[in-house]
Order: sequence, then structure tokens, then C-alpha cells
Amino acid sequence: MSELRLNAVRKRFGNLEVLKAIDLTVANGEFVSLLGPSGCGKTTTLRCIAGFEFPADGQILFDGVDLTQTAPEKRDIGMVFQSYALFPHLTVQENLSFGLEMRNIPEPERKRRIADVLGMVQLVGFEERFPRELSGGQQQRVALARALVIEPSVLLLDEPLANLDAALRDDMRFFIRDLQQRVGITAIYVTHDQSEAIVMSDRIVVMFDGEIAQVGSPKEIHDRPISKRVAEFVGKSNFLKGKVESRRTDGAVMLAAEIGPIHATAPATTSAGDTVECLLRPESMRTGALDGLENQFPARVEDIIFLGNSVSVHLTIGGGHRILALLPADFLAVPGDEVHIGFSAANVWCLP
Amino acid sequence: MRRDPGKLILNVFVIAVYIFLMAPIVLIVILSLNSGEFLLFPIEGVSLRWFGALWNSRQFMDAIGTSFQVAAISTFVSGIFGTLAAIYCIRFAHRMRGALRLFMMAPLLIPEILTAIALLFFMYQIGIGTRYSIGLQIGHIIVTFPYVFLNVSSALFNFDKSLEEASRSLGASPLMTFRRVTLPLIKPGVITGCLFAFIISFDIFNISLLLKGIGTTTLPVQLFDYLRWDFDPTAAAVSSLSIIMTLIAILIFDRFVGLRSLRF
Ligand SMILES: Nc1ncnc2c1ncn2[C@@H]1O[C@H](COP(=O)(O)OP(=O)(O)OP(=O)(O)O)[C@@H](O)[C@H]1O
Ligand SMILES: [Mg+2]
Repeated sequence: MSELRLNAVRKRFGNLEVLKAIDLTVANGEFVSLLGPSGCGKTTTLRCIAGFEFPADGQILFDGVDLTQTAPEKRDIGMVFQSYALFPHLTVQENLSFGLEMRNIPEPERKRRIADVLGMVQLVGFEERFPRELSGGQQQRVALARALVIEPSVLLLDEPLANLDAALRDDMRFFIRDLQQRVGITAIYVTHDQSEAIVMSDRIVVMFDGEIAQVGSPKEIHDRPISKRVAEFVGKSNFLKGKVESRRTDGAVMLAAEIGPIHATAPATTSAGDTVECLLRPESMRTGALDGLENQFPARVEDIIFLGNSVSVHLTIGGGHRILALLPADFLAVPGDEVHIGFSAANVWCLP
Repeated sequence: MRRDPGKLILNVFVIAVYIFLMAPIVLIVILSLNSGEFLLFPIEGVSLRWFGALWNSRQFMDAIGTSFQVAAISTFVSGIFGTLAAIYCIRFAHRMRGALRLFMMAPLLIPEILTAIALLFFMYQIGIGTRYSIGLQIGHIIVTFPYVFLNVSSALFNFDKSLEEASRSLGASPLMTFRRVTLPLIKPGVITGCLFAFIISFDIFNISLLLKGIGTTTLPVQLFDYLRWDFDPTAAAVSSLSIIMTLIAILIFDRFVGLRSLRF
């Protein structure tokens, strides 16, 4: 278990600057996701931490020890690869034993630790199978077990769920998170799937083009994004343009928006008179009982898409502005109906 | 059951190809069992007398011994250097990879007789000539080398590098990773390459003819010499023996790696 720190890590491939001064601290036992679109440098960051790439500049510190130029085998990491990278010529038992043998751990203890870890990943009885004799999900759990059995100080995962089907992916999210919590290991998880990052992480690092755009808890990233780009990347969004009329010290603001006057929340940098764009998440809109919601508008239903556990509704409000709402599945209306919608001031976030 | 005419034609075609390929082999084996004096079909009776004659022929037994020795040394040397060359070429030669690959494969592309002539000149230039079989041995290594190189290259080319990274992440040094992960996984390529090297070396004619040392000869050359003067079934017996030895080599190979691992 340990704390991991990246100090102004830079990396270039030829003329392409892939990482531009990445600063990041991951606390002991924390689960941090690197989230960003394809090609933004997530894998490169992880590979620098693992020691498969060496940064041109900057330091990587494990518990304060500078390991920037240290070979991967001397870093005490466990890594789970997108392709799993299980050794095809070795059985499950031998795959798990590999890292323990490299650490010269005596046979009885190896046996005990392998049995423990196989219990954790629910694969007892699969010891003698070869990787090709396992399903995708089982291979995934062996890969996880192989990385954990050596009890590394940091666990690195690069899109480990990308090759699984949707239902299994949902189960594995909770499985990995639960396992990480039980073991208490520091984990860095690379993904481009925002819902994965949101449900699994203690903190999310959003990256664009080799730079960190925002670091925060899933709730901060989701509800209080630092830019329109982050907001759009992290989930479905409605953007409302408006002018700040007045501002209270707690961040509550009164806005003259295109759709009419609304109550909103703004960061400290926003002051009265500013023109701002606000984020309103579709899932923060309500119909029916609107008591206590600062913002209430009449709206007309344009179309409804049934999603199973909810409905996605396009509405027009405030004289022709289309917005998207995600409502409970019991929302009964047909296109053309007039309804009332409401949302709280806390859910309207003025982008800085 | 409905018969598919396309499938029927395919089956007939496949059977025809097999007959075309197998007939000479079967014929040779039948001829070698002839009890008559001549290499003729149909045979007069069945006996093993020509295998006996082969066993008693100094020349043939010596030639078989030489061929085995040369093939074994060629396989060993080409096996090691071909594997190392392939590893260097695929893993470490970045800009020069294409050129290097072509260079390594040159012995396959240049007609064997040219290699033989060039090597013969070279051996005389350095004053050794054909006094020893050294030129012969070098020639066989040159020709068998590309087979190992090619087979190991393609094994390395399809190799998932994240396996090596996984090994490193588990604490294995680069050398340990090579020994425990890379080598076992490219082993089928190495063994296939060696099998090719052995069989090809056993079969080489031109180089052997020109470069054989004084007083030594390999099996194909001996067979050629023999057939010029004698036309009895000893030649067929030698061929049958070669076929049996090839089969044994393939069976041993199958035990080692399994032919199944060659499927893609
Ligand atoms: N070995 C390499 N040589 C040259 N360029 C590379 C190399 N590895 C990565 N890159 C480039 O660096 C950039 C970042 O790559 P990286 O793999 O870190 O992206 P990523 O965020 O993991 O993307 P994805 O979600 O698609 O996996 C990309 O533009 C990629 O083309
Ligand atoms: Mg990646």
C-alpha cells in the first residue's frame, strides 16, 4: 500500500507531446480513475507509472521514493491489461504462482496465497485450467487475481472491462471496486467510459489532449464540471445561456436566462453582470410534485423514448428552447401534452 | 439426404490431389520390397533383400552417416543463430528491419547452385578447398538458416507483447521474462524451423555435390552416383528409408509440440 505522486510528468513520442506536465497525487488506498477520450494519454500515463515508458521530464514517486527511471520489475506494482495478458502456456495456478516465484516465496506460502486470492475472485476449482479454457469474465478475474496475489503497493488497470459484454461489465465494476476496498489497495483505473469511472472511483481525473482538465469526486465531476467539455464528456447535458443578475455570498445566483429567470449556483469566480452558460443535467429534472424546487416551468412534450428503467423526454420550454429530461418510467404523457417541470437551484451550475 | 454437387466435386478434387502427391511415395516403397533384380513395376515378389543389400553397402551406410551428421550440425547451428537473428530483427532492428530480413532470407532467394559455386570459389580462395567437408557444412548451414529464421520471425511477429509486460510487472527481469514467457511461446516456431532445417539439409543436392570433401559424400549425391551405373532396387530401399526417417522425425516433433499448434 502506498501513496503515489506524479510531478510535472511529460512524455513525447517523436514530435507529439502526449503528456504535458501531469501532476497527480493518489492517496494510500484510494481508487482513482483516469477518464478521457481516446488518445488523450491515459494509457501513456499508466505506462509511465508502471515503468514501461519513461517520462522525458518530471518525477514519479512511490511513497516519496523517486522511481522515475526504475525498471517495472522493481516497482512493486500489479497490472491488469485490457487483453488480460494471461500466460497461455501456464495454468491458472501457474499464472498466479509466477509473480510469487519471482519474489522467492516458498512453496507452502505460495499455495496458501493463491488459494486465498482464488477464493476472493470466486475461482476455486479452476486451478488446473488453461486460460483458453475460461470465459472472458473468468479470464478477467484470473488477471485480477494474478495482479493481487503478489500484494503490490499499487494496482494499475487499463480498461480491464472493455472486452466484456454489457451485463458482465456492470457486475465486474462492483466486483473490482469491492475487491479493492476489501484489500485496501491503491488503485489507478484507466477508462473512457464515464459511467464506469463514476460508479467505481473515489476520485476521477479527467484528461484531454495530454493535460488534466479536472480532478474531483465523481459527484464534483458530474455536477460541478469545470468546463463545457468536461460536462459533455461526463454525461448528457443541457446548456442554458444567461446573464447573472445578482449573486449571494453562498454562490446562489439569479439568472436572466433565455428560458426566463432562473435560480442557479455559481463558482466564486462568477459575479453579477457576467454572461454565463449553465449546465442542467437531464436527470435532475422533476415532474409532478414540485414543492421546494426553485425553478418551475411549463413545458410541452415533444417526444418520449422508453429506456426501461426511465424515459428520455424532449421538452420545449420558455418559448421554443428544447431540453432533454430523464424522468422516471412512470411518467405518463404523450407528445403534445403540456406538463410542469422543475429543478432545484443546486442543479443549475454556471460553468466558470 | 440432398447431395451437394459442389461438395462432391471438391471431394473428388481433393482425392485426386492426394493420389497425385502420394502415388510416387507409395510406389517407391512398393519397389523397394521387390524380390527381383530390377527397379521395375510390377514387382516380382515381396522381400526385404534390398534393405539387406543397403545394410551391407559401405558407401550407402557411410553416406547416410554423413548426411545425418551434417543435418544434425546444420540444425543445431541454424537453430541457435536463426532464432537469435529473428529476435534481433523483429525486436531490436527498427529502421533496418526490412533490409535485414531480406538479407537473412537471401539464401532462399538465390538459386542453390549459385550459392554452391560462390562458396566453392571462396573455399579455394582461402586455401581449404574441398579437402575437408567444412565447405559442405557451411553451405548446409547457409541454406537451412532462413527456415529457422522465418519460422521464429513469424512466431515473434504474432507474439502479444503485453505478455512480456505482464511478466515484468510481476517482477521478472528481462532475461527471466525471455526464459519463462517468450521462449516457451515461440518454441513451436523454433522446433518447426529446426524440423525444416533438418529435412532440407538431408535433401540438399547441389551444394553437397560441389562442396563435399574428398572421400565423403551425402545420401542424395551417393544415390545419384549409384543410379548412373546400377538400376537395382537398392535405390528404392534408400528412398523408403528416407521416407521412414522423415515420418519418425515428424512423429517425434508431434510429441514435442503437437502439429495442432501449427494451425492458425
Ligand atoms: N509507442 C508510441 N509511439 C508513438 N505514439 C504513441 C505511442 N503510444 C501512444 N502514442 C500516441 O500517444 C497518444 C496517447 O496515447 P494513449 O495510448 O496514452 O491514449 P489513451 O488515452 O490510452 O487512448 P485510448 O482510450 O484510445 O486507449 C496517442 O495520440 C497515440 O497515438
Ligand atoms: Mg489506452
